[in-house]
Amino acid sequence: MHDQRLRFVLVDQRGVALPLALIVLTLLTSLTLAFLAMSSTEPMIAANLKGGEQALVLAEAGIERAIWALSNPTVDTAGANTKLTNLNAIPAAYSGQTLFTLTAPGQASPTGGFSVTITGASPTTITGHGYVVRGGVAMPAQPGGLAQSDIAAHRVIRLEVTAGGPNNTVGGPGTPNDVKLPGALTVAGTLQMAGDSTIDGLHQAEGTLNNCARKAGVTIRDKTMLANNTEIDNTISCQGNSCNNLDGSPKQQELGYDAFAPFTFNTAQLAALKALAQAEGTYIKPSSNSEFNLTVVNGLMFVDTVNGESLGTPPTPPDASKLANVKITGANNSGWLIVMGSLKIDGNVTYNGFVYAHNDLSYKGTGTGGIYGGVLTGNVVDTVATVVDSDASGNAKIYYDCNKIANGGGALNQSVQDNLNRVIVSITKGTWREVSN
Amino acid sequence: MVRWRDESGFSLAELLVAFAVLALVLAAATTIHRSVLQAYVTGSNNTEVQQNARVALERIARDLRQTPGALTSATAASLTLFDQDTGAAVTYALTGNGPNATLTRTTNGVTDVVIGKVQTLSFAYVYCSGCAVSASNVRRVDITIQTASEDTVVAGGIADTKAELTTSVQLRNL
Repeated sequence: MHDQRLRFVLVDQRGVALPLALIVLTLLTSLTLAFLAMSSTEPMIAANLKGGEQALVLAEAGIERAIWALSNPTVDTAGANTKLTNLNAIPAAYSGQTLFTLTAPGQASPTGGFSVTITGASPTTITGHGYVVRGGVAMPAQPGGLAQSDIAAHRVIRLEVTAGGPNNTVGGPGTPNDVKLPGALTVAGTLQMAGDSTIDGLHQAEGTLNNCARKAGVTIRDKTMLANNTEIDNTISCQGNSCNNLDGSPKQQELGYDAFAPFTFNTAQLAALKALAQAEGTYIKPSSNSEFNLTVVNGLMFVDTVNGESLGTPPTPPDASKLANVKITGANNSGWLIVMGSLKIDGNVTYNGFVYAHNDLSYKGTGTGGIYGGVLTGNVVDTVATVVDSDASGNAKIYYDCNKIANGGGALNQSVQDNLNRVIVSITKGTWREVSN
Repeated sequence: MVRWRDESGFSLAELLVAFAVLALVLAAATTIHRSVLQAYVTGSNNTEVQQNARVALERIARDLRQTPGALTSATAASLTLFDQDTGAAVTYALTGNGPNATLTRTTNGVTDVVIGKVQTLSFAYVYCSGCAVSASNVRRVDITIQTASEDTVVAGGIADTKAELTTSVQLRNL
């Protein structure tokens, strides 16, 4: 009897272990599942965040690409026939039709890419789309070829820029691709010629006709607005032989503000020219406004304001004490000479190319020297007019040669010329935005 | 009939042994369950606080990145920018004190809560080169936020989880 009961206990006590095991197992399984769910969504959240940031910078890369392309309208920046010379006819590469692919270093498959759309001439809107694709996805040539399931992240940025415009290149009126100077001597103020000076818009050298589109002798702006809001009339005057030696078609002309505007440099252009000269190693910064003798070198020379100080924002006339005061007594050079102040040429000076004085020019020539190219003065502080004079023993000469302006008398290499052809693109403040998509 | 008579019940000794064994098994299971649950709570709270911090940073960063005008106020605890869509001023600041502060976004007199349980929020500024230290000259903002779990009941308890994230934002429109 006893033995039998013990046998029953041993055999029949089997209902507890199974439910217990099941309960514990259920609890553990549910926790494990929750863990699994959490550990699988967490990397996904992190990956989404990373993808979103990558897509954002890719979209910004697209914007940068568009700005670069807009800055270099004379260069094919995305294969053949992709020049952005006409903003009303944008090539496919910049119409959102091309997917520029980016592959991170050391990666077999691309991270993603961007497309960019440029619309409108003024203002110009740039829309950059950044795409991050899933691993191993081959990038199609066009964004439309990306399946929605291939895209891990997509972000869009839009902004407005000012590009284009007739006088928006770094080289301003002397831009190699499009020399706009009207003739030999262009002055934003009053001009006095005397002595035996010669100003010739028809010839590139004595006896040799030039092939330029415009051939004026002297061009001045008819009026100047002074700081106190009074306007003064500008005049052209000549004495002696200088009257007979003036040649051109027309010999002389006076233009209004609007017509004269393309023959001036704005602040952005001057800043770009300065940067270019600094890169070329031909930048000079005077430490005072007292007159100093300049040793001219070939190439793009930029003589800055005193200590490189800003001249303020036009139309407010600059502080005269900040202007450079340069004298050249002898030279035989080629290039572009930009002087942020007044320039006095007094001696036997031969210069092939383009001379720009931000304020006044006083040119007294001796010997056989002359300027072959073009001269432009800004007269930003209207105290002394531009004077072209000569002493009894010699003569000042300016012969107009648009080709020598374009290539700096042969002293501007292709890289500098390309830089002078560059369009200055400025982003319109407040227009950068992320577009929801 | 023999079977019925034989299954008349368990002796006290049998029951005690069974209960003892059951108690041992349950104690072991409970211990495992408790530690697993703790790990789960810690993990999910970690996720939660990081998510909260990310959401807050993303929200502020996006607004800052595209503010169409300069900041009008820039302190270590709050900043005021402009909404790209409405042009209205937007202020990010903490409301409330201590561990229960909320990050709020105020515009046009309406205050929205972005996230709760913010421990600390600090803004550091980088100004344009050579410019005066002024809100209008801010060009970059470094944002640091520390968030805590909404579950936090006791400081230092198992649910007391915190996350601190930092990001830097360049103001694109300035």
